[in-house]
Amino acid sequence: MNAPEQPAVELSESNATNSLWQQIRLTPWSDLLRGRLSGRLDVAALAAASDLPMAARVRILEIIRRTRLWRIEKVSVAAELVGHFADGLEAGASLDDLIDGFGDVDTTAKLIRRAKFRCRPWTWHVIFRLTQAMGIFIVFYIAAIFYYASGKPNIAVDYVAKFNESTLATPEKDRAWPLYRQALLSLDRERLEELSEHGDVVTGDPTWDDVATLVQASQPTLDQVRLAAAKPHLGFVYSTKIHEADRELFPDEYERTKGEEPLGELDIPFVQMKLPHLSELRQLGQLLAWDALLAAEQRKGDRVVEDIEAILGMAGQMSGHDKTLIDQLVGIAIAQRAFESLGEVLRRHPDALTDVHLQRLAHRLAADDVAPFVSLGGERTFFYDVLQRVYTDNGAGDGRLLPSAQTLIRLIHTDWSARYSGPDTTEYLLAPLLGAGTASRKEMAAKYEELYDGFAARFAQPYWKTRLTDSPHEKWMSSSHLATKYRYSIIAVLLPAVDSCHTRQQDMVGHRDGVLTVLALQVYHRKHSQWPTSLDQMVPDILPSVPRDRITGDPLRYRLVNGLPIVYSVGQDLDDDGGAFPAAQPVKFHKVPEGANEEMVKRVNDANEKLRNESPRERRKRTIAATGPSGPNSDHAKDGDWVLWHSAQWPVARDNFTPE
Amino acid sequence: MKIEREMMRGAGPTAVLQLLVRREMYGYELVEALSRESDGVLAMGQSTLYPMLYNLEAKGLVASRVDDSGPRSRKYYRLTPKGRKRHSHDTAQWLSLLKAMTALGVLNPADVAGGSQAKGAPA
Repeated sequence: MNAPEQPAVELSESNATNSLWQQIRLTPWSDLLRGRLSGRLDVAALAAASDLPMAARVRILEIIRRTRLWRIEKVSVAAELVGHFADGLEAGASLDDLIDGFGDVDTTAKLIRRAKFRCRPWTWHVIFRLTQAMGIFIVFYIAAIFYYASGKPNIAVDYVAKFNESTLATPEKDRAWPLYRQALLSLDRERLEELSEHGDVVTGDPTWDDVATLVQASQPTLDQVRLAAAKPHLGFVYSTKIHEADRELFPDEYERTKGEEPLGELDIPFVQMKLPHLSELRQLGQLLAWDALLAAEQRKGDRVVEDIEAILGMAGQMSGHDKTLIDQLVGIAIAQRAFESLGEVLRRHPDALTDVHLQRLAHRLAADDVAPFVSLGGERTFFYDVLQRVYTDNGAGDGRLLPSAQTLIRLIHTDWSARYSGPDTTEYLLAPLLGAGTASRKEMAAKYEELYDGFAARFAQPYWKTRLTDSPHEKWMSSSHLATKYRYSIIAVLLPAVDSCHTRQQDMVGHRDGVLTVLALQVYHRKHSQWPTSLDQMVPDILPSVPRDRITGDPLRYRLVNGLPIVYSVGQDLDDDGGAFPAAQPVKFHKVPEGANEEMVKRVNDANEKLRNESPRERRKRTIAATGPSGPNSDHAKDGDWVLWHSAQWPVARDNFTPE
Repeated sequence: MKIEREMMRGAGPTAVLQLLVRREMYGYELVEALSRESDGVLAMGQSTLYPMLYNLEAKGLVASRVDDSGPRSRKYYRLTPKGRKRHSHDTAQWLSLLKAMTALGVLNPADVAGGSQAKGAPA
């Protein structure tokens, strides 16, 4: 006999049946809907009303309580057990035997609970299983959050130092930057910047006299710049801070960055890298271009040649595997400045150059180092630096994605320059989802290498070969399923618009070829006192071959209008319009990216303001460029040619630009 | 003789279905009938019987009704058509088992026929 001496449970679910709330709670919905407060779900009351001995009631209530069933089920089971005891006692069975018949309370309660569960409707079972599955999922998901959040990156390689290796290995005497620095310090940079705001300024423009005064006063500086441009290596050491030696040149930036320390793994040196030399070199290139024009005006051909060579030397110093993509793009822009400047000299003052000058310039322009292919070496280094920061490292080149990868993507889409302190709560919560769906470190690197090889092969080809095929990135993006893009999301966000680097480089090569052809035309003209009727007439005496149209691969187009030459490519419509410019291109204003910070908004607004104040010459340049490889390839830009050089008497009437 | 739990798991439901073939019965009645008619061999406590009844109900083999007409409320169980089918099936299986055990010599036909002699045998 195991009946308890004392009740182990409350015999009345309350003593509280008086309470209205209890009454409501213990009344089934069906009764409530009929307006009855029956309170018939009170198991204790049911047991109390049974007249069973206390021990039987206690045992029943113990079992019922431990079944953890719904109230309505408890009442049903309790009523049956009460009946069982009553029938047993009535049939003469002893109370002890009846209580013993229940066996262990916990076991009985468990068996009843299981059996009653099976009696519940299938809808309940569906919801129960779903809830169970959800619960299991949540437990595993929480474990996965901890798993991903507990990962740590292993920032083992200083990629910036690696990137600087070739610069640091260059002897000091072969580095150009120290000389550029000195030149910049001796220059009226404020005035240069102010005049540069006017964009292209040439002889006869309202600001030309101011430009000429500055250029004249800067001759000692320009001598130094020319010396620097002749050095084999730029020699600028990349860093997240301003180098002590550049302190005087960039005092504000030096002060701002000197105390800065990385705040976390996403404080990526490649993002925080300071590139103040770029705008300075661009302005020195501008100064040299102006000087070439001034020298031509003054009939000082030697200086013209030296200036053009210096600009090309400077541009060449900004190319190669050990330069960032932005360095190379600025280098391309500087080289373009040389071709524009030389084109302007040939348009306005061709007689300033002797035959020797023309020949020397032609040889310089034709040299291999003038239009180097764009290298993605810097981007590749940046990619691997990012990889070591957003993945764990298992020591064998693999690892799992960290929550900080999402922070990285967020920063890319909002503010690159934002200082980083750690993933936010949402990024931690989403880490398992992103981590499970994203490629591992090894897979990500392999895919990047595949794309990188594709780009390298593409960038080494002329535009007329790449024009008709999709770039590896486009091919990948268009052929891949959404899941694949999601899987390689790190690559997708780190590989934006690299194709435009190739088209810009091809723009530059096109311009170079155009000016090179005009140099040959000048030589021919001086030799024969007339222009050739065809470019072929200059081959092989003056030109080894006619340069090719970057867009079609055919020989460049040439014609004489009013006795003066025009050199052009047929442009993206592949249709020879006789050297006509395309229609004026509408200005495309920049959009402020979502989530951009104040500095970014200001930068975009400034760029848009500049577009609003565009000079006719700048507009003409932009319009002509629209038909070149980097043009928008829109129908609007298509009808017209890509004019690489024209005389002062050009363009023709269909154009709405004023002939100069 | 007390039947081991595993054997009881197979025999118990069949025994309950067999009792319900005759008429509907309530819980205590079933406990009594099982004990009495099997000479205590198939006697089962409430902790076994009620969960078993609820399981049979969940499977649709038995149905229940509450009868409030007497001095106290009683829950009666009866066989459903599905339960009848199941009972026939179980009975056939038991018969086959019995034959097989007999053929193997585990059971003696005489013992089975004179099973009443075993009544009151110690557990």
